Amino acid sequence: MAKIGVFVCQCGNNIARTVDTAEVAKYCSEQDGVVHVEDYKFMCSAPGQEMFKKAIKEKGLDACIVSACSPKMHEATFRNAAEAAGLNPFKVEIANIREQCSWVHDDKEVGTVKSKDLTKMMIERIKFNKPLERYVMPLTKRALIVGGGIAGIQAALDLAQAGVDVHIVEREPSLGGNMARLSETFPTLDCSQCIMTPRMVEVQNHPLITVHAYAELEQLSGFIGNFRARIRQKAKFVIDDLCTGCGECWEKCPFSTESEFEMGLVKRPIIYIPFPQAVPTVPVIDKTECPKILKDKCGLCADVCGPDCIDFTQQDEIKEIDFGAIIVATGFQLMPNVYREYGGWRPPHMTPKKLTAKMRKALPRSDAGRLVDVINGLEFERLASASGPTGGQIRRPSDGKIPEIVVFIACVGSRDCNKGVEYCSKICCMYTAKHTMLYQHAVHHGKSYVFYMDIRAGGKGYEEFINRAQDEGAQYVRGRVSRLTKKGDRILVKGADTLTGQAVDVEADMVVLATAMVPQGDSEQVAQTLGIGYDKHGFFSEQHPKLMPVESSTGGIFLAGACQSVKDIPETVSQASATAAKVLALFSKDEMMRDPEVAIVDQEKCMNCWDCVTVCPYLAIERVELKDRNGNFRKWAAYVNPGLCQGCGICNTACRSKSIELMGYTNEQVYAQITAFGGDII
Amino acid sequence: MIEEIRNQARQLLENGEVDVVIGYAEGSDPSRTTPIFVRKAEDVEKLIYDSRCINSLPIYLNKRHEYTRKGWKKSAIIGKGCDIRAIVQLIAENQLKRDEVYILGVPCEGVVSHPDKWDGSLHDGNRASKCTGCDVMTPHETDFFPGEKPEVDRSKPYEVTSPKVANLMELELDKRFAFWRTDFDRCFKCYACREVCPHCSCNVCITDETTPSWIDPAAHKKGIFSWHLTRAMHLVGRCTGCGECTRACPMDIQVDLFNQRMKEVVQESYSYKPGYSLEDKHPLITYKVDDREDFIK
Amino acid sequence: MGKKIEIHDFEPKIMAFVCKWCTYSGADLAGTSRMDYSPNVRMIRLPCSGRIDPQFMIKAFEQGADGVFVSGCHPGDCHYNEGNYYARRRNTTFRQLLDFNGIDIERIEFSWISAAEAIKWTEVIDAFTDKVRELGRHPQYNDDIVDPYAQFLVQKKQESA
Repeated sequence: MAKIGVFVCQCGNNIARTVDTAEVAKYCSEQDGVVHVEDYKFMCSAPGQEMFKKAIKEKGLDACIVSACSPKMHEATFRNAAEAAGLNPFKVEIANIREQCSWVHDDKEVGTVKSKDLTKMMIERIKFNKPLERYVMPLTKRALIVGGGIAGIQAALDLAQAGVDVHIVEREPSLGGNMARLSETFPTLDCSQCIMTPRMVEVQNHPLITVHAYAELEQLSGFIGNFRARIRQKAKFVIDDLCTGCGECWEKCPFSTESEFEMGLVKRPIIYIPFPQAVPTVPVIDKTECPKILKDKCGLCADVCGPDCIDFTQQDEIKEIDFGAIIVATGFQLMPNVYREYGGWRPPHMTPKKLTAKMRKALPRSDAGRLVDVINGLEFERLASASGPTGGQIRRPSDGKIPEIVVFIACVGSRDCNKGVEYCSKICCMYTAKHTMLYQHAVHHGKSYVFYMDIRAGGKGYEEFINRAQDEGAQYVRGRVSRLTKKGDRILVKGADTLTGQAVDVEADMVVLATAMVPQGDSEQVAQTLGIGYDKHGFFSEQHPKLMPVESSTGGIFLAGACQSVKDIPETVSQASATAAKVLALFSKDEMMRDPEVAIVDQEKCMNCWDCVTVCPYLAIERVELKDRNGNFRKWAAYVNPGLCQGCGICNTACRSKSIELMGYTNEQVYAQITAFGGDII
Repeated sequence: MIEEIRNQARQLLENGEVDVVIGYAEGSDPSRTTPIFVRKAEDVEKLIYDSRCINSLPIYLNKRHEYTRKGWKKSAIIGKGCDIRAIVQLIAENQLKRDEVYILGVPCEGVVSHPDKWDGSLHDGNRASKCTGCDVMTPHETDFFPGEKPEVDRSKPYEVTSPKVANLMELELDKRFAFWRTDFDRCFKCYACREVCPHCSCNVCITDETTPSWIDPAAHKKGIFSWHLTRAMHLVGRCTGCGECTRACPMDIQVDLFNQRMKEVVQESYSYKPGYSLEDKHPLITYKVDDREDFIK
Repeated sequence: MGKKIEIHDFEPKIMAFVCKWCTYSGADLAGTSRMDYSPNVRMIRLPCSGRIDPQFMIKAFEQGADGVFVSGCHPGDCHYNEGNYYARRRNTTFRQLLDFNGIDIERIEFSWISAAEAIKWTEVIDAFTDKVRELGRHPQYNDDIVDPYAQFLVQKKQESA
């Protein structure tokens, strides 16, 4: 016979006001199996918990019901107290008589009857509660970071400094991401390369960090603490270990193509490093362009290479590595193909691999009438960068003339339900202000106009920065631009000033669009590889918008930077550090404890229809062969991996033979609860 | 036609390609046929096929009947279209592997509803209701078929529904309940409907479960209602409509009406027809984001 | 707050099977906001609406429930991503089955209630209670088909008392 203790809480007056707790306690004491009853003012208080523990010890209770507030409030409190008193925590249940009874019913008689019934149902249920032990899972203390931009770099350094083995997978030949493209950063106007490059070098030199540059994550299996990643190291055709990064090869390469890093503003050789400060300084050969690989002609780079490290026969290499946690930091791109509205010129590589419906809408109808001197923010960054194609002199792409009048257009594609995305890209106001300053500093006699919708400058030193931009000569015009047309060698910007209500026409030498920030074109594919959620724009979904902003929907996978939502650099860096802290917390123990409320299969009963395998949202159910004692195959059966199971119970319902039981919500427990129902209703 | 089947069966047995041929033979009286397991090539002459062959043979392929064919690696089975749908469904549910069965398809013109109604020929008066509008009279999945197999369009929704279902649906709610109450009055829970069903494949049936016993084992009304509702629910989207449950019922309860009604519901709601594809999953373990939810508040 | 509960001649018994992430939290929020709703409902907390088995509902009716309420997260909001989609299909078919059996499907209510929809929870519960009260005692499961063993127990109890 069960020895159940029932503890009815008065919650001060919160419960006692509409529930006769003494009556409830008396009723419970008459139930089968109940050996101890308490009626107390505050069960959750220190004396209340002491009383709870004392009763468990002295009466030798093997199950406890606390009739009190919602289990969301104090289930953990009482389960911990029970554990301290030597009772299995899963033998404690809460009957919710506050939120779902005393607070919602005014009539004391009604409240008392309902409380009795609710407690009775729990008493019957707990007789079938099994003592459950938390699962101990092994833990691989190695972290994988997908993306080697500033977010990935920051997280890698934080983790490595705490002694964690880190691997970074970066699909470009070099670390750096979008931040490496920037000339100067707001609001301090410090040089991006100057603050970025030392960190990249630090990453490369850190003994605990392994960089897989020019590699992609191909497949991910396993679960929190026990992931296995398949990384495809794309063929560089250059032997990493031998290359000294001398640069002979890329200087001699006679062929060229558009440079992705320079946003297509200049050409790069076929064997290349993206930019001079690249880390690692090992060039790669672009196999889609190289005539040696395509047609077996040339091969000049191999001839000039001193250490003889060029190998045209190199193949992609697959590496399988185990990880315990994953940080996703795949970053952003500027919205491709926003030029339809304004005309303009579009580098071919910016066509996204996977178009969303929104993006497809924004595709230009034809290439005719494109205006070469309409550029986007990142292109302007390259023009303004001291290491950029113009050496820091701002010259327009068409004829290399120094532009006298530049028009900056904010909110291109952002906050635009029809042609773009409905969210605010957040950083454009600030970088447009920065661009005007960079321009004014470079071209002292130049004139800059900014067409804007609203100025959103929430951030430390941000509003001051906008004011400074205006003081330094930028002319802010509140209004949108309707069209850009060619006029001579200039661009006619037709806009409006909504503050004065007048049309504003500007003849500009160059137009800079502050294009919306969108996720990488293949972000949905990445999310599917990782098994994490994503929103309609392709940004990865956090588990909770407020309280769990860096966790993805899958345990052990964390999100850093602009792949989760639009962010500026400080925010990205702080989120990256936050993910590092989460990973460190996960790695702080040698083994992982998992909630035991997972599904368990009765493998003898299982008739292997695999319905459970089909419905499981977490791919937690495996097909296993059962063997007899001689090791011969006996039958197939399902097996639930407790490391992956999240305890939803969908398999439990799908199983016709009732071979799967969800611990904590077993058929017996629910059955007992249903059959206990049926007393007086009011 | 049957000669060709016999020849093929003989060949299969002689080559040792199959261990057994499951088919029909003459029964105890002229109106009846009986299932037969042919294991020797000389016995193939016993095989027959005509409109009296009403038994659903795939039940012998169900894992529950593994003991009857213990050690037999591959079975050949004579299948009329509706039986082959059951076989296909068994394969889709992983109860059978495609290479464990050799399907000898037969062209079918319909079968009688009950042996007692056999008067020497098949006509509208004695044809089983499942045969009206059947689209697998030329079977869809076969290893052997006598003669040319004509192409048949099977994309259309079902028409095979007993008029009794429609009649019942027209009744008032309480009349419908009264109908079932009188019918279930006779049920004494022999579970013949379960035993004859080719798709009931659990090792332990939910009604035999005791931890907990969701279905009251006693043959009183609540237990009976619960049993029949559960049985129908477990067959949603899986029943291939052989009608054996009704035929096997010793008390003439028309339990397959439930299955026929659910077949309509599944067809209307999810446009799914079981037993036509070896891979498709049944509708209760799949979903679409825009499934109907007109009843949800 | 302050709605005095009116006790009618007949008070229906309603059993609710709810998901713990959305509906249960929504009902908790109704409590925290001191809203007021019919006391006829007894809730069983389950991890997900996908865990709600038709067996539960049949048993609840057998146990004398006059109405059964099923609820989970809105489509797309499921904590387990897809549990409520399976629940939706299961309930679509189960309701049709009961209907074919002659059991009034007005006695089963399915609703999506999020953790924030405390008002919706109270409204839906109140409306459902009123509806079931109108329908009256569940005649089929309570009077037409009886469980002799339960009757025997009741009789025995009366005799001993």
